[in-house]
Amino acid sequence: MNQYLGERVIDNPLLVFPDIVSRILATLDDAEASLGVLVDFLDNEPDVMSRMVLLAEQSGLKYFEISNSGDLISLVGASRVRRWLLIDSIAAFARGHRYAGWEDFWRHSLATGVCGEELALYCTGGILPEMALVASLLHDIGQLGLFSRHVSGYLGGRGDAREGDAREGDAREGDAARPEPDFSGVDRAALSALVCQSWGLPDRICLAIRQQDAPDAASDDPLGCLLHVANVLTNALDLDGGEENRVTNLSSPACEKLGLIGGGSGARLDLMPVFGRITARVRHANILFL
Amino acid sequence: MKTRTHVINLTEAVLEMVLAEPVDAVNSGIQSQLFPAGHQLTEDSLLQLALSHIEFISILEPDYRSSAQVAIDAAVAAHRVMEIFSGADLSNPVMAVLFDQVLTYRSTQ
Repeated sequence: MNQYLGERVIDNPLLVFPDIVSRILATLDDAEASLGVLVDFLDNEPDVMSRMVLLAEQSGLKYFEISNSGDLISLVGASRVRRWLLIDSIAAFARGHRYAGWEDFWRHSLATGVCGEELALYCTGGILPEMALVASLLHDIGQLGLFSRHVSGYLGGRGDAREGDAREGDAREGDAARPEPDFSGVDRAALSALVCQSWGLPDRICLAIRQQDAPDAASDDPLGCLLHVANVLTNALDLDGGEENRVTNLSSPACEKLGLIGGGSGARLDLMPVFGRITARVRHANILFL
Repeated sequence: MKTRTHVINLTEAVLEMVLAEPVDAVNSGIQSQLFPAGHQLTEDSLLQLALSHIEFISILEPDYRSSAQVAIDAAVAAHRVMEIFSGADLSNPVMAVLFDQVLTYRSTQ
């Protein structure tokens, strides 16, 4: 079933991923090229530019005049604009699907994304925060594909995405009475990785998403470990407000790979310094992007 | 007056709030302190924080709750944390430390 579902998810005409995400990720190690990508995109996408100006105003910069991409980047800072663009693009993409549970999906993804980015800044794993942000935002993306009518109809359940009319209405008439599709037995991590692979996202991200539920056996790349810890903290701190949030395991090898414990100094786990910042950032991200 | 520490976005900051931690800024790779802990926010300092791309600050917030209310809030938070960790193996040292830290953090918010 996994392979069939994977093909159906990837073949979904609604799942057209925003190209800007890949362009940003491809230039992270080249400051000049990265800036060029931001300026080029903002200058050619006036709607996005307007949203970025709005985000700047909502972030306390409303007394400054922002008339072009140069003003925006200079005032807000390139790294924050890059982060806003990544989240805003993926938010618009997720919002376009409008299946009945997309808000819960996006709330959880956004919280995990912010948490992953903060962890990348805090730990010593050498992970670029933007890479952590995208991997964490997309760690459950297969679920978005599963719930589209394109796929869930196959499972006999409700499918709320309106193909060809994804902007209007949240659910099709009569959907509430239909059963939730049965996704038991579906490997969501593998499915999410498959979707990311089909979009041409970096192998690091695809592998990390595939390994997120098996952090003890994860590769040498700490990104998968970071996804695991970000998911644990999202639940532990109730960052997405989910009533069913539970924590059953925090992988010691994953913490070690991230430099959160052990190593030469025999460090003891200390996440207290980041709890306040993560909570505040998620609260603010919810205002901007939910 | 009792206070508690709270991290807020700069948009939530208002005049006369007091910083709980120093605020550092990085310019051309060089880190320098913008304001020390204990600094009381003014219009000028808020502007300087915004222009230095500072997004979040840690402030000391007056805690007007009664002792009884503080105890109730802590108990509610502890109950929720125990619910979240109900299936966790707390004999695992890493899990136990995480549990303690989450409990401490959530009980004091």
